[in-house]
Amino acid sequence: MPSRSRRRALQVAAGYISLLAGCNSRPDSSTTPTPTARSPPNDAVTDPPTVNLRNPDGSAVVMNSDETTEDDTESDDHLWRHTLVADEESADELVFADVEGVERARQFLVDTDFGTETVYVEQTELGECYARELCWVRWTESAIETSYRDGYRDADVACDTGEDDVVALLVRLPVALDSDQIRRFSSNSGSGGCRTHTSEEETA
Amino acid sequence: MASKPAPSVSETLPVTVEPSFAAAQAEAARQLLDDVPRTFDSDLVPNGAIRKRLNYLNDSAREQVREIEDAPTTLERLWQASRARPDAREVRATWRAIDSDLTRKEVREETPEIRATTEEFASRWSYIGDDPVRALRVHAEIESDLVGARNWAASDGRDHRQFGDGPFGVGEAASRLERARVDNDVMNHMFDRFQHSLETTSDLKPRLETARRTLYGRVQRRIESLPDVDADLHESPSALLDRNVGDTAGVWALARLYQESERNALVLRNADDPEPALARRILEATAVLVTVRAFDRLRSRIENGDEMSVESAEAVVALRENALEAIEAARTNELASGLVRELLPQFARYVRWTDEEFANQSGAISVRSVERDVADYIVAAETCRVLPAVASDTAKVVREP
Repeated sequence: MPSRSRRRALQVAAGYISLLAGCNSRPDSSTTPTPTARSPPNDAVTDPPTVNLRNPDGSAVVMNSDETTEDDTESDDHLWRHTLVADEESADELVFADVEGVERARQFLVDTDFGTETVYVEQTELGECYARELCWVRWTESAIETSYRDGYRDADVACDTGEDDVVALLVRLPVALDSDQIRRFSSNSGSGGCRTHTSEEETA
Repeated sequence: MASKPAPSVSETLPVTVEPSFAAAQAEAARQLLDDVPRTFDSDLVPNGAIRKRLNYLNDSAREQVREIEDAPTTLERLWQASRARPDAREVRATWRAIDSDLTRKEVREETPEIRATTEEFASRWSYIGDDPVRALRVHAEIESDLVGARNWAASDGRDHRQFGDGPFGVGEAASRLERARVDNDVMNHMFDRFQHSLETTSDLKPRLETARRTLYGRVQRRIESLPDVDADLHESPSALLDRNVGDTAGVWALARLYQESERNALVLRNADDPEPALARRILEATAVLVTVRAFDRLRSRIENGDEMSVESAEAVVALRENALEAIEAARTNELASGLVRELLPQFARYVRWTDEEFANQSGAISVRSVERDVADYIVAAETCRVLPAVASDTAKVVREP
């Protein structure tokens, strides 16, 4: 019988009183799993327009015209890049790797009204077998924060656990931001489901 | 370090589980895996990460099923089958989500029927019995199953869905419902067997409610009698004593008993715990009284000069031996033996935890660390020594007319 780790066992001990009748050999029948997803902050947007791109060769998906792929792979062990596209000129300077969905990304930029909108581009490495979903994004005049849910890609996608892709997200924010004023970028991810401001416990 | 293996204190219930029922539960677990491949290769599951996790779940579920036959008693075979069924259901549903597009929504369609079974049981169950102590133990088990069945089938909210709508989300939902089914099956069987065994029967709820109030009062008074401590006991456990004896194993054990008592008394006051909980609360209150009495006893011992410091490997072995003797003495005692058997596994397992802690350690270990780790041998010994007397007190309270 697999033994519980001491830590786990102590957690059970702390809560054993509510499990007493079931004792330690029964499944923890009166407990429920710990929630893993937290609610989005009040000022977050949970479903902005987005485009996702993925580069299976492990190098950057989107670059400014003055960057090169070689620079990127040499300098970044764990790639995490963020670019704020605040005007058409900046959009025109973006260079995309030859990956599926590039035309959609270009059209997304063309469709953006930079007088009232901004496109935020964030890219990072992600295991080949995994997919990333944006849960929410929020911003101020000086900071942008994103939160993601990481999950598996479809079971029929052939992939290895030891390989990484680079994934990029283009997200359209309904605000005209000044890229020179944005000083802080932050991001987090988790395996729990994305929640919305209004999501409640579902019942069958 | 461990000369004898950690005692495995078998759980008991004052209800005879039908061997055929335990066997049927085991068979149900086995059958769930019948259509599941033994191993998933890249042809069956091309996604390497999903394949890796699915193989892990599959191996684990098969091991759970295999271990049913190893369980030494019918009751423990039933408990092992109860663990195996949700795991087997999870693997089966995950694989079917991949292989034949089973969805979480389809899985959840079985929820109303499961809930109906639970509520049908709830409507026919009550706190009946003849001997109140025996009834207390049986109804505590049933309460736990009833709350469990309701919880597992209650919702499938996004909070609980670690894996979303993907195959593991389907498996997760199926596992939750299987837990509810298991609880339904077990509580129905337990109650039927219990009813069948009664020669006379009466409604014991008023008596149990009175007993709970009495024991809560005792817990309240004993908790208030514990010393007020401002210091962080994780750093300064000796703050519990009037004299400075250093952070010995005995002092660490004292701190652990103090913290357990306070924490569990707090849980007892938690009004949010789902009902029914009457019988469980009586057992919980008894457990708090065990830790408080063990605390008082150990504190007197240390204040009177037995500092219980560990200065050699032999001293550690002696502490462990002492714990094993205390467990054995509790197990063979005749005072309130039913309640003692009910509560003993909770306290006896401190020995196994400590054994595991030592087994997992390597390299140089500080003396302070050893003193802290062996404290749980002392906790086991002290709680098991006072358990029969405390259980006897509870039995008297429950049996008072």
